[in-house]
Parts: sequence; structure tokens; C-alpha cells
Amino acid sequence: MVKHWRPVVAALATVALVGACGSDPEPTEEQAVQPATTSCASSGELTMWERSGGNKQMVDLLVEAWNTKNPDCKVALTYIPHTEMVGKIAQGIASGEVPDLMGMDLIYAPQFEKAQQLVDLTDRIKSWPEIATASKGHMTVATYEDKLYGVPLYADVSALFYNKDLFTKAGLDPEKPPTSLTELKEYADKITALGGDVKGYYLPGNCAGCNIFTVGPLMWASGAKIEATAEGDEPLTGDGVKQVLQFARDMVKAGNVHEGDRAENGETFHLQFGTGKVGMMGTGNFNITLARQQNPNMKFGIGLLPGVTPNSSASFIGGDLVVVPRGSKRVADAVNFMKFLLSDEVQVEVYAKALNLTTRTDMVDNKYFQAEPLVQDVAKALDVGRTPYTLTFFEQINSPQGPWLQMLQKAYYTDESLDTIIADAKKAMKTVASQG
Amino acid sequence: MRRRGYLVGAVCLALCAVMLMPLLASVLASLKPTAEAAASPPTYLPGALSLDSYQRLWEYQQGLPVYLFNSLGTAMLTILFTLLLTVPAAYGLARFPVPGKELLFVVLLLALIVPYQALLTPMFLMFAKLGLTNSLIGLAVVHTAIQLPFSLYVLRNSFAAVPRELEEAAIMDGASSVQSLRRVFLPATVPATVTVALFAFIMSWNEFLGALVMMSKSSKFTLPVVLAAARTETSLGGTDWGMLQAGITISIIPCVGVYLLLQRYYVSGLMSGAVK
Repeated sequence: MVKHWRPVVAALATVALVGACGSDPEPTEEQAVQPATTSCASSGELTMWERSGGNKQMVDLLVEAWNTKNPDCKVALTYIPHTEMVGKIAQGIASGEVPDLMGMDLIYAPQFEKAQQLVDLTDRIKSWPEIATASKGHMTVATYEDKLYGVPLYADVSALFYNKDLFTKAGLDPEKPPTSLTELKEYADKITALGGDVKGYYLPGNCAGCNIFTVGPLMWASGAKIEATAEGDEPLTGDGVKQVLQFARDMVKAGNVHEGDRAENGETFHLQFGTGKVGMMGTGNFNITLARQQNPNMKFGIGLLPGVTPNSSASFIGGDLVVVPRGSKRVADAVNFMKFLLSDEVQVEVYAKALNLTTRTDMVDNKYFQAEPLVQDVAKALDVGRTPYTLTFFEQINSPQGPWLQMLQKAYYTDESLDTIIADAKKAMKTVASQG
Repeated sequence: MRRRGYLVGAVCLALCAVMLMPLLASVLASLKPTAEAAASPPTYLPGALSLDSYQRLWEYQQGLPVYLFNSLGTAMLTILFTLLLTVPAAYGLARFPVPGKELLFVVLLLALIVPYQALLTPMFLMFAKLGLTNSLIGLAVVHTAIQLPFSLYVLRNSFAAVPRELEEAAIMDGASSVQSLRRVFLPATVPATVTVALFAFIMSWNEFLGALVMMSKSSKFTLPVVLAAARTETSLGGTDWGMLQAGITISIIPCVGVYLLLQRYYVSGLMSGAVK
């Protein structure tokens, strides 16, 4: 979920375009496809790129685990500044200076798959039993026209975090997070009533990515659809869109969010829950460790992001995929690295041990999660989660000037008619999708 | 009179305060413990001092020393290339009857109005073929190219300002043109040369886009690229302010150092009395 692309990307993308004309576009396919293993097929250092600002701690651990097991073909990891990643990849592919494998923000995968800039791995990985249980959201975006291009590197899912201390103070049951939007509003009112600088809820006012991550699921859980998948597809359908916008507007009007939230552009989003001054907040699994570091004494729980109907829920599955850029000289080893990531041992002894989500849903039941109920709770989001699939995710949703954020800001902070606001956003999203 | 002195002092102090405030805030923020550095609203003075942020930066990926070395190496090479190219060029254009030299000079200066971002694309593709990507020399060549027009402009004017009598005296003493460059022009244009070197250093030290495009291995990154990568904490744009400020503080030090070191060459009245 890149927050903003800079003009820099334009410069880098030009490199890609110009380069594409000159360089030979034929992918280097290896002769025979060897069955994948979890160790190296050939020796020599493997180069890997990953965006900064992803789950660095997790990726470092995974690479370390691989390197310990495979001292002959260690992975050399380079973090590329996250706002420049898309341009840098495009530039690399165009000039042939590509890493052997790379981590990629999953949301941009369809774009690169469509442009044929990734190596088609269907024949190599499709038959693996692990693929069947790999995170659905990841696998959706790793697939383009029935071809498979990658596997999950790690998962970031959104859920509803709530402060048990504040719940108790407000006379709410700390074991029962809200299960519908009505309850969410009701609980937030009670927590805000505690006074001081405590507020019941949190809405990031100026961050498109934070909102698709945490407000989007409220709409999905209410039966709505958000983005236009392709040209001619109708975005923002279902009553849920209007219901959630109304809910958010009511929250702001009732004073259930801090005044400063309006300026939140993502830079301090991850630090809000840990302050202990927010009763409930949609955020990601990364916030578990972070909130504990910030505020070791605070007790908190995790529920699912609810919809209008009681007990409905949804989540945004984000995170990264491992893919192989076209021009990689070590496809077989990249595939082995993928096999390694999905193996039972790594799922439990690396992902789960570090209290990160396993990328296979059948590995959720493990000894480390059993000892850590919060992770178990957040892992439930994997089952109800989804990942938007569109070639124009940035323009429709993630752009700070895009229709998604504009719609939300008007809904949160103005009194304009919600129908007009939604109609405007629909029109803008359709236009963008038709240009994709 | 004394009252006026106080007034001037007060104005100077106020100006300094305005200029130094952001620097000070940045240094102070780099010394805050992690949680405090990220606090919103921010605190003015650190509640406790801590080197956490520096430690995180020091240990980031290949380690800060590698990146400092890359940045410093590139900057030094940039200074070297820039001076090697512009000193003879400026001397020639200022002192010799080169045919069409005014036009040549203008054409060279034209590069100033082309944004270098536009030049990066062809440069990158060319460098990729020559094997100059992921190399400090390659990056220094890019930085030199960016810095050339300005340096040439400064040096040529400075060479042109050296009194003709000095040059003639050298010729009378039997100096060749290379000798008079070494014995007369270079000593006479020290302030300009220092300016050019200083600007080349600062530009190369701070430059981001060229380094990002040319380097794709973490062991070859320069400080600005690493700072851009290291500060992002979450994919939603979360920023590690403490580490960013620590990086900024560290990256200021060499610039200030080089400036202090070279500023003694800015001597006024160097030429006074050279010619009667």
C-alpha cells in the first residue's frame, strides 16, 4: 500500500519505457524444470529486493533462516525506498539489471503481471499442496489470466483493536468487542464519555491507504464492493457504502475521534493505538508488538472489523508476494526459496515463532499461536479477508488526490449529501478504470 | 554608539536563532528515546537522552560506515573529476583565442537549464551497457555532469578576472601556458576553486535521485538513499522520526566540517597590491 508516488516514479518509469524499446524482451527460460526443493539448485549469491516499510523484521528473519540452511546460495537482501519501488522495478526490468527474486507489495502485482514483467511460474509451483492453503488474498493477486506468478512473503491483515482498560472503565465487557457497526458506535460513545483526551474511535483523515485498510473492510462486511476491477465494472455498489459513510460521519459528529486525526497522513497512524487514548481502532497485526513496546501495561484485545448486520466481518489482506522479475538468472533457486517459505517448518518455526501471521491458513494452529491469543484472534481475519484486484489500485484508491480519499473526506467532514458524494466518486473511479 | 551596537547584536542573535532553530530541533529529536521521538504532538526538549536512534541507523542493513564510505567516496571523486575537467576548460575559455568560444561557453551553460532528471534516463541506459551502474565512479560521473556547467561558469569568470599584467609578467619570465596556470592562475583563483569544490561536495553528498537510479545493491547505496529506505516503518507511510533525525544530523556533520575547513581560503583582498 504505497501511500504516495512521487514524480520520481515518473522519471524512473521513463527509463523503463525507453529501455523496453531497446533491450531484448525474451525471458531467459531454463531448459528443464527441476522439481522444487527447499535448498539451492545452484551455488552463488542470490540477490533479492524488498521494499522498505514492509515487514522488515519478518523478511530479515526469513532470509536469515534460508541463509543458515543454504550457506552456498545465500540471499543478499536490498531494501529499496518504498515510495520508489515501482519505478525501480520497472527500470530494472527494462535495463536487465534485475534481482534474482523480489518481494513486492501485493497490490501492484496484477499491473506487473499484465505487463509481462514477471516470470510465469505456473508449471513450477501450481501443483504444490501448500498452494491450496496459501493466503487467498495473496494468491488472487498472484494470478493473472490463470497463470501463477508468486507466493506470499508475509501477510498484513486489518482487524479491530480495542483497549480493554478503557472498555472496563466505560462499563463494557472487555471480552466482547463490537460485532456490528451499531455496537461499534454505541461502545465508542460510552468510551468517549469517559472524558479527558480519550476518544472512542479513530479515523485517519488524510491517508487513503489507511482507510482502504481499515474502513474498506467495514464496507465489505456490509456487502458493498469498492473498486472497479476493470473497464465497465461498476465501483462502489451496495448499500454498505452509504451506510458506512453515514456511520463514519456520525462518529465524527459525535466527537468520537480526536480532532488531530483529520490531518493523519499515515506517518503516525501506527502509533495511535499504543497511546492508550483510543478506545477502538481498525489497524493491522503489526500493531500488536508495536503497541506493547509503546505501552507495556495496556491491556487490549482484537476483534474483526464488523459490518452493518451483527456478526458480519471482513478484513483487508495486505502484505507482500515473492515474485521473479523477468530476466532473473536464477529462477530455479527463487522457486526453491518460495518452497522454503511455504514449508511447515518455516511456517511454524519462523513466521509463528516471531508471532507473525503464517501465510498458510492450515498452519494457524501451532504451539506459538496457542500461547498468544492475540495472534490467534488476528489470524481469524485471514479467513474473512480479501485483497482488491485492479490494475489501477493506485489511481482509484491509494492516491492522496484520488476519488476514494476525496469521497471519505467529504463524508467525514462536510454535510454534503452522501448520494452526491458517492455518485461523484463512482464517476471518477470509472474514468480511471477505463484508462487502465 | 554603544546602544546601536547592542541593537545590531540583538538582530544578529535573532537571525541566528531563526536559522539554527530547525537544526537544533533536529539534533534534539535525534537524541530522544524512540517512543518520545515519535510522540504526537512532539515535545520540544527531550525528556531523556538516548542514542537508540543512532544505534538503529548504525546497524541498518550493511551498517552506516559502508554508506558513509560510499557517500564520501562519491563526493571526493566528484570533486576530483569536476576540477580536472573545469580548471583547464575555464583557463582555455578565459585566456585563449578559441574560435567561437563565446558560443561554446553558452552551449556549455545551456546544460544548466536542462533538468538533470531528464538526462538520467539515457545516462542510466548507457551506464548499464558500460558496466558503470552500482559503481561509485559511475555515480561520480553523473554528479560531475550535473555540476559541470555551474563550475565552469564560476571558474571561467574567475580566470577572466585575473589581471592581464600578472599573466604577462609570467610570460616575460619565460613561463609556458601550463606553468602560468600552475604558478599564477591557480593561486590567484583559490577562492573560486574552493567554491567549486565545496559545491560539488555538497551536491554529491545530498543527491538522491541519481544515486537511486544508478545503484541497486544495498552495499552501494549512498546516505540519502539509505535514509529514504530506513525511515519508513510501515507500508502506510509510518515514519521512524528518531532514526530520520539521527541520519540528518550525521549527514550534516561532513558538510559543516568541509565548509569550516575550506572557508579560510575565502580571503578578501587576495589580489590587492598585486598590480600597481
